[in-house]
Parts: sequence; structure tokens; C-alpha cells
Amino acid sequence: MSTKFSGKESPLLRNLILIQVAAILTSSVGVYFAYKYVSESNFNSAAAKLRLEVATELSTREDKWRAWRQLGLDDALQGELEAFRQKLRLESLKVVPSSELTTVDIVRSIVLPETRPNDPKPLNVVVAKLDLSAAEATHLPNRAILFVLLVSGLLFVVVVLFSAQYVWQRIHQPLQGLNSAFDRFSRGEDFDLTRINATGEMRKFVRAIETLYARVKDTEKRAVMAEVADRVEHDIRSPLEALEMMLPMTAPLPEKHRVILRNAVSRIRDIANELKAKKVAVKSQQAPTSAMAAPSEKPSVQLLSSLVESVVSEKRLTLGNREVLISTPLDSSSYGMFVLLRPGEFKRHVSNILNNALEAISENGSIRIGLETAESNRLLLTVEDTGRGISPEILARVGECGFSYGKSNGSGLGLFHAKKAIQELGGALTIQSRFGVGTKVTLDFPAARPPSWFVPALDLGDARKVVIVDDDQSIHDVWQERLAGHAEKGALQLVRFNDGQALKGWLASNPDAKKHSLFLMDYELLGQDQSGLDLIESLQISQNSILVTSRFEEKKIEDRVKWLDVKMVPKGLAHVVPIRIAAD
Amino acid sequence: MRTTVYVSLLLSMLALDARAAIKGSGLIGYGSSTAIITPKIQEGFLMGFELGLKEMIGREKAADVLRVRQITGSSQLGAEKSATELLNQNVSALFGFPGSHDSLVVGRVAKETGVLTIVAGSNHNDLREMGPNFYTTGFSMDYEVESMLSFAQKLYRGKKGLVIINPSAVASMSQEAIFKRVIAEKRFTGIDVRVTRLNRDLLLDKEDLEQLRSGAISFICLTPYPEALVGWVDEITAAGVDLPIIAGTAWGTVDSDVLRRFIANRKAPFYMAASYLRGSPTAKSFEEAFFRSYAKEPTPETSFGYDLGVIAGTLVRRSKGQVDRESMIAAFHQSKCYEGLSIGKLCFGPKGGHATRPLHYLKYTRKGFVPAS
Repeated sequence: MSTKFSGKESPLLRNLILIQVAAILTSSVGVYFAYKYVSESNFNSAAAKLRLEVATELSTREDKWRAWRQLGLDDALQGELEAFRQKLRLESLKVVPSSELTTVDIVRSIVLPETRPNDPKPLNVVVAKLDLSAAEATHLPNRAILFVLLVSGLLFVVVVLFSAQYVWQRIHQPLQGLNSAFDRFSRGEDFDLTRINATGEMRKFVRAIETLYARVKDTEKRAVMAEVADRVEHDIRSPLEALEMMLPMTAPLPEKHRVILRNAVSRIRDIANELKAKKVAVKSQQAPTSAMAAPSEKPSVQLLSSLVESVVSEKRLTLGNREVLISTPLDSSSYGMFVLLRPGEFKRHVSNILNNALEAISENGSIRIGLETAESNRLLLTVEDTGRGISPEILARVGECGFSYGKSNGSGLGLFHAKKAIQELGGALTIQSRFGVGTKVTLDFPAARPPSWFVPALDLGDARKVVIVDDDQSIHDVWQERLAGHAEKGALQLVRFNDGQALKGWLASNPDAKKHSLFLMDYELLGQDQSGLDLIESLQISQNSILVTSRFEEKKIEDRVKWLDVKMVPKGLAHVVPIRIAAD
Repeated sequence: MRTTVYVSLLLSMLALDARAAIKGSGLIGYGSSTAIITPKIQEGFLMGFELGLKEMIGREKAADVLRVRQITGSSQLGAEKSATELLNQNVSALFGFPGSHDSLVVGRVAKETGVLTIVAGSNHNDLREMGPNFYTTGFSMDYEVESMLSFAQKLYRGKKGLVIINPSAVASMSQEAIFKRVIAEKRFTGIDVRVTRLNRDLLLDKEDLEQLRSGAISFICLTPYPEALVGWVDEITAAGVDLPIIAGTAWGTVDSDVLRRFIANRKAPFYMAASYLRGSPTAKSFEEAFFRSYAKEPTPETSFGYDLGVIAGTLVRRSKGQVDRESMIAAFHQSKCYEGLSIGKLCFGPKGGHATRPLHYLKYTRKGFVPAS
């Protein structure tokens, strides 16, 4: 430790010790001189008091004694002098000629009579030498000051040792740790402060540096991400436009595949927009809370199952040869779940959660996505996998900003942002896991009021015919299956068309069919000039038409149905939409 | 012509008038202190001195020529202060200072200054060491001691006596040395005398008291002043001691009425030495003059003062107006003897010191102190 006390190594500690040494020396000197002053004061006070007492006593007799000296009454004089010497406890008391008086100790001797400088000298004077042993007894004993200095010296040693130890442990070592961490960082190693043992303010300081570093790192990362996002956004715009241009040419494909392609293109567009928004957010130095969402994407009421289904479909396509089952058991209970959120951001979060689940499954397994209602008008989205699970120690830190587990390139921001974003919308994200068994992520949202176009149930009312207009046979099959029972009972009749012309022809032949028919109209009628909404509008059947489309999320469609006062059923939920038939 | 006559007569009168204008400093000084002798006794000395001086040079001249400085208080060097202050007034001669204590104190000053100094009635032997211009009207202590022993031997031959000394009184201590010397010289073999000192409380030690009470001692010789023996008289009275007492001239100088009750209540005789014999032929004119002046009977100290005043006045007259130091000294040495004093005649020695004067022993009776037979 002695080598550490050199000025270069630890000037703080050295200066502390120097200051303490100076303080104790100064105080010791002060104590000593104060002690001496008090001791001298005591002595002087006692001596002065004694002088006064003796002078007062002798002043009444000095005249007689000087006369006796002058008259030769030596025996009587000596007798009285001795008697008074003993009485007053003097060292000596005598009468001497003034001419024999040379030097006098003014502290210890009294000379009587007292004369002023110009007064004639008396023939004889009385000289009394005081015994100041009693006064000197008022001196504070030297051993007391030695004891005080010894004790204070010991205290000083203890204080110095303690303070040196304290400074070494509490200040020097943490600072050294910080220096070492900076040195390692400058050599390209990780900036790790976990090994620094600090307490109190130093701990706060170290934690502040950690936080600062994390933020700097995060800023750098986001800057890189922004740059990457910018690059990617820029690069994918062209192929995206190409894909969008090709979409109309996918008519020959089954509806299901068209939906997937459309969703995928939409997803790519969303991603490009998100990248752009991210770049803007980073450049404007927005806080990384919900800034990953496009600033222009405002929260809106969305059909939860539709959002989830679109992401799940995309994921299924990425499975490749992996034997991972992703199930989304949707039924009528999960039909009308609407939530206020940012759709693009939400899909990304769900996508991240599904990615985490897929990464947790080493070879084969399953991921079950559930939608259910909960108390207090809340909706739960659960993603449960059969992956390796998360240990309790790691689980406690999952969701922390910057914490990543099990990913080589994990940023530790995905779940953090998801959690933040959901919390901002009044929701919550919780994770349950059993190591070796699996993990369940639950997203908890407050239920939102469904939009005005939403059909909570197919209410056939007094309709006798259900007219299905769709170019996708699979939908016809769905409706056939859903309504077949009722058709067999003769409660209603199913009429199916693949295009608008056929519908028009039928209505022309059956003009009364409008009144008692429910039209389930597809929006996208490939090969047709008119869309489903065009037909609804032209045929004036908006009051008893329901648009069944997968493009229900598109704003222009939503605006038009609102204008036409037409309801919609998401095509993906046609198989679960509740059906109510009057007098059923 | 007429004017000439008048002037001549005037000059003649002036020349003949002993009370002519005083020249030189024109002053003489009388000093005293109350260090040893009480103010009342000191006042008696001064009363006598002024009377004697007035009788010699007249009242007015006496008032002109005399400067008095009495130091009261307890300072035992008061006489020195008195003499110093008188000399600062440029007096040509010093008179007074009764008592051996004051006389010895002022003697140093007189010796240093050389001024003519005559003290009243002091006996200390060292007074003869104060130079050629210092005199006392008292006789020597040797004479007093020898006179006392002679008297004791006459009365109490073959008996034992105790001489009491006050160790704090210079006169008493001076007599102690003389007593011891004389006893050692076996000059008075008819009596067996032992000298003892009073203790610091001015009382006898138990051994001495026991000897007095047991009858081992037949007579007592006292040397201290009466004022110093107040405690002692209570001591021996309480002890039942009633022995013959022979007191020294201190008793004859001062007012013995201080212990008159003690003296009067004793059965054993009480003797004291004195120079002044009241009612004697030599004292008659003094006593009459004193009574005329003060309407009271004189006392021994007044006689001492009177005699000194007559001497002072005589010297002033002899100096014929030149009352300066040299003239006063010269006047003194014109004649050492003086007559017409209360004690009759007194003569001084040639080179300072004591005088020759009569010494009587008086015995206390119901009629007062009378000469002892």
C-alpha cells in the first residue's frame, strides 16, 4: 500500500493524509500552547495572589523592621522575621541595606518599601522571597499534556489508518476500476463496470457512467440502425414498387395466396415506412420509447385477430423445413377483438415475439397464439412456445433496455420497446417461462370499441336469400358450410355468384330479390371493372350488403364503406363470424 | 541732632535686646514621632520645650524661630521623616526626639548632615556615636544600669533578682547588654541578678514566672516602658506574684499613670528612677511657670522638654541673631553647662553624647512618688 501513496498513484489519498497530519500537528501544537498558557496563567494568578497577600502582611511591619535594623535590635528583628517567614511560608525574609540590593527577581521577591524612580532610597529595605511551590502546584502537570498528546497521537494514527482505508476502498479502488474499464474499452474490449465494487456516491457515479455508456451505445446503435434503415428503406423502395405493380397480376392465384402476397407487400411497405420513421426519429434524437413506430402512425382501433393472422402467415412462410407448428385457434370468441394500437408497430412487436419463440425452439416444437377476453374488458394475446424456456435469473432481466439473451446480435431493445409501447397504450406485457419447458408471452390490452363498419354477427333478420358474390371458391365453400344447415331447413336460400355481371343479371331477373336478400360481397372481383363496393353502390343494396374482404384495413375501403353505410366482415374471419337467424 | 539721638538709641536697644532680629536661616526645629512614646507624652515634651524656649527668647521670637514637625502614626521611622522635613525647611538646629528609639533614628540624619541636634532625655549608649554635634540631655545607659544595680544591692543584698528586658525596645535591649556585661564583671556581687527577655507576646516564659511565684526571685528590675508591660502585669497579677520592683528611667520619663492601678494595688514596694523631683527647689520655678502657662501640674516629660527648651533658647541668645548652623554650633560650644533647669544643672560632654544629670530613685507611697531613702 505504501507504493500507492506516491503522488502519481493516489494524490487524493496522499493529500488526505498530509492534510490530516498537518491538522493533527497544528492541533497538537495548539493544544500544547493552550495548555502551557493555561498553566502559566494559573501559576501567574496564584503567584500574584500570593504576592499581594504577602505584601499586604509585610507592609504593616516593614517600617518597624527597618527601624530595628537601623537601631541594632537584631535579636528581636530576627525573631520576628523568622516568625513571619514561617507564618507566610516564605523562602526567606530579611532586612538589608539598600546599597546591597542588586538584582531582584520581580516574580519571586517582594521589596518594601516600594519606591518610585525619583524617590530617595531608604537606608534599609525588607526583602521577602516567595515560596512559589504552592503556585507552581497550580501548573498543569506535564504528564497530563503528555498523556493528552499521546492519546491524540494514537487517535490520529487510528483516524489516518481508517481514513486511508476508507478512501482506498471507497474512492481509490472504484476510480481505479473505472480507469481500468476505460483502458480496456480503449483497447476494444467490452466496457464492463460490473466488477467495480462501489458504494454510496461512487456507486451512483459508476451506475451513472454505465447508464451514460448504455445511452451512448444505444445512440450509436440507433444511429447505425438509422443509417441501415435509411439504406434499406431506400433500397427496398424500388423492389417494393415492383411488387405493388405486380399485385394485380396475382388474380389467377387462390384467394388465400393473394391475401398472403398482399399482406406481405403491405408488410414490406410498413417496414419501409417504419425504417423511414426510425431514421427520422434517430436524427431528431427522440427517446427510444415508442419512437420506433412511425411518427405518422397514430394509434387506431384495429382487429387484433387480423393483425396477428397476417404476422403468423408471414412467419409460417419463413419456417422452411423446420417442424414448428404455429397455431392460431380462432373462434367466435376471438371474432370481435378490437384494440387501440399502432398496427405497424404492433405487428413488429408480435413478429419479434414470434421470432423469439422460434429461436427458443431448437428443432421442432410448437407455438400457440391465443386470443381471449379477460376481466375488466381486457383482451389477452398470448404467444406460448415449447422452447427451452428462460431461467429465473434471466427472466428477471428480460425486457430491460439493452439486455439480450441467447442472441448473437441481440440489441436487447425488442422486448423493451414492445413493453414500452404497449404500456403507453394502457396495456401490459408479461412473460412467464419454465426453463426447459417453454415460455408464454402475454400481451394485455384494454378492449376498444369496434369501428362502425364492424359486423358483430351476421344478423340475417328476415332475409330469405343470402347472395354470395366472390371470385374465390374457398369463400363460397366457407359460406356454404356455415349456412348449409339453415339452407337445408329451408330457412334461407343460398345464391352464389363469381362476378358482378352474373349478379346484375340475376337481380334484373329478380327485382324483388333485393328486399329479402343479404348480400355478402367480395371487394376484389378480379377481372371485373367494378369492385364489390361499386356493385353495392350501383345496385343500391348497401342496406343489406356486407362487404367480405381481406382488405378491410385499407383506409380507402374503410372510408367508402362508411360513406355507403356498409358493414364489413374480414374475410379471414368469415368462418367464425357469429350468425343469427330470426326464428332460428 | 534729635534724629541722631533717636537712631543711636534705637540701635543701642537693638544691640542690647537679646531678642534682636534673627539672621541666617533664623529657624530651629523641634521634631518627634509617636512610634514608641505616646502622643500624650510627646505633647508633654513639646509643652515643656515651648515654655522653656519662650522663657529664654520671648513668646514672639519663639513663635518666629521655632518650627515643629510631629509625625503621628505608627511608623517607627517617623523621627527620620520629621528631621528630614525640618531640615528641608532649612532649620539651623534640631531639638526634641525624645526616647532612645527616635533619638537613634534621627542621630543618623544628624550625623550625615552635621547639624546641631540635642535630643531630650534619651539614654542609649550608641547616642555618643552620632558625631560631635549630637547631644542628649539624658545620661548614659551605663550609668542607669549601674545605678539600678547599686540601688538594688543596697536594698536587697544577698537576694536574687530578675532583670526583665523587652527585646523589641532599643533602650531595653541596650540595657540588657550592659546588665550582662556588668554581671559578668562581677561588679555587684552583693546580689544575684539574672537577665531574661519577654517573649514575643511581651510575657514571661513559664520557667521565669514559676521562679517569681516560687519565691526564688526576690526582686524585679524593669527596663521596658510601662506601655509594653500591660500584658506582663496581668500575667504576674494572675500568678499572684507581688515582688519588689525597681523600674528604670523610662518610668521616670513617661507617665507612670498607665499602670498606676497596678502600682497602687501592690503590697511590695515599687521604685522607679527619675531625674525630675517634683517639688524640689530646682524645679520650683519651672513648676510655677508651667502652671502659669498651662494651668496644670507639670509631669516628668514636661520637665525634660522644659530643660531642652531653655537650652535651645540659650543657644539662640548666644548666637546673637545668627541662627544658622555654624552659629548655633559655636553657641553650644561656648559653654557645655546649663543652669536654671528643672533638674538644676546639666552639663554635656565635649564631643557629643550624653549629659551629666542627677538621678534619683522614687518610691511609690499613698502620697505619691517620694524619694526613696
